[in-house]
Amino acid sequence: MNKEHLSDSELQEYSLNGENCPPQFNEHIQSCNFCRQKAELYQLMFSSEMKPEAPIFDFDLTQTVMRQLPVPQSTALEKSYTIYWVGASVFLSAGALIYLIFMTSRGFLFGKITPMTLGISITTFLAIFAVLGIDIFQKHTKQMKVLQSELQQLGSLAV
Amino acid sequence: MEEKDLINRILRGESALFAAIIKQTQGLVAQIVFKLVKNPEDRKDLAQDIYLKAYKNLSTFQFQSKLSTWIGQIAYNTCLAYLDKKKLVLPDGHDSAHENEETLLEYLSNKTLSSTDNETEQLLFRAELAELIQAALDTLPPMYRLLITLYHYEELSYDEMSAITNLPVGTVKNYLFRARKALKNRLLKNYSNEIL
Ligand SMILES: [Zn+2]
Repeated sequence: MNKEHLSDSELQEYSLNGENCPPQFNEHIQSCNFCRQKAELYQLMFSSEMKPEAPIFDFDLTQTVMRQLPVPQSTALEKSYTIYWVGASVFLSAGALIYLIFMTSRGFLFGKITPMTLGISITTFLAIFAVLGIDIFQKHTKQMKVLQSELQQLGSLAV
Repeated sequence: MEEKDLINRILRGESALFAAIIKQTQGLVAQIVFKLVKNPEDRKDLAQDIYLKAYKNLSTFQFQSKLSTWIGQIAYNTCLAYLDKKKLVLPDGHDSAHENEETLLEYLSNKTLSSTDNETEQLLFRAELAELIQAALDTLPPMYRLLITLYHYEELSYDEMSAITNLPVGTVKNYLFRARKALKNRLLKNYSNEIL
């Protein structure tokens, strides 16, 4: 056995970082039972075999935290977009209606359009705008719902 | 999804995606909280607190480290604030070797040698030893417990551990060395109680 025992820090270095150790560590350990056993104990203590089970929380942390987050901004955003769409539809419809009444009443004054034609025209245009407006609103609501559920799925699936 | 994309989307209002971050990082957070805090009820409150803080401060994350390291840092600081409040002890560093260390090592070595005749007996002994290590780890000061866990079980680098604990790398290495030594000494002490 050469010289005194390896220090604890040398033994740890040898056990956990063997290949980068000075060769004299190895020489000593080969010839000294005490140091070899200590080094083996360090190796065994931190081997994967001795690794304790990882702790886990005994409640659903994800759900508990997600419930406490402030209301998602996307909902607020969705509402502001909805208002924008409905507003734009109403505005466009009203503009078109005024224009239509103006144009047809001029024609009516000049006797080119009968009251019957005027009535039919106004009803038709009103119907078209109503259908368009409702369609835009429904499409928008649907898209927002799909987007929201996709997000929730992504959130719960992604690991 | 890339970490950066994920964070940017959450910041743009897709808060439901934050669930993915919790799932990715709760293993590390659990290790930190369990190693530093004993009381189960307090652990529960702390874990929630950690993620609510992370959510609130997500816009300050600079992408200079992994997101898990950043959240680990929040977990560590949150637990430390709790420890300070409860005045729990941090490393003392005075764990002496067992007086019969040599005999104990000899005994252990014979038990764990792969050349032992009875394989079942050896497996049993190793399982027992794993339990003894766990028990010894539980008696270490919280900081030692944490550093051993982060380095050996979570396989974090010194830099990551340094970022989480806000300690210089040299100090992390030094504490870790003392922690291993203390663990070995406690283990031998427990083991001697077991065989005597
Ligand atoms: Zn020696």
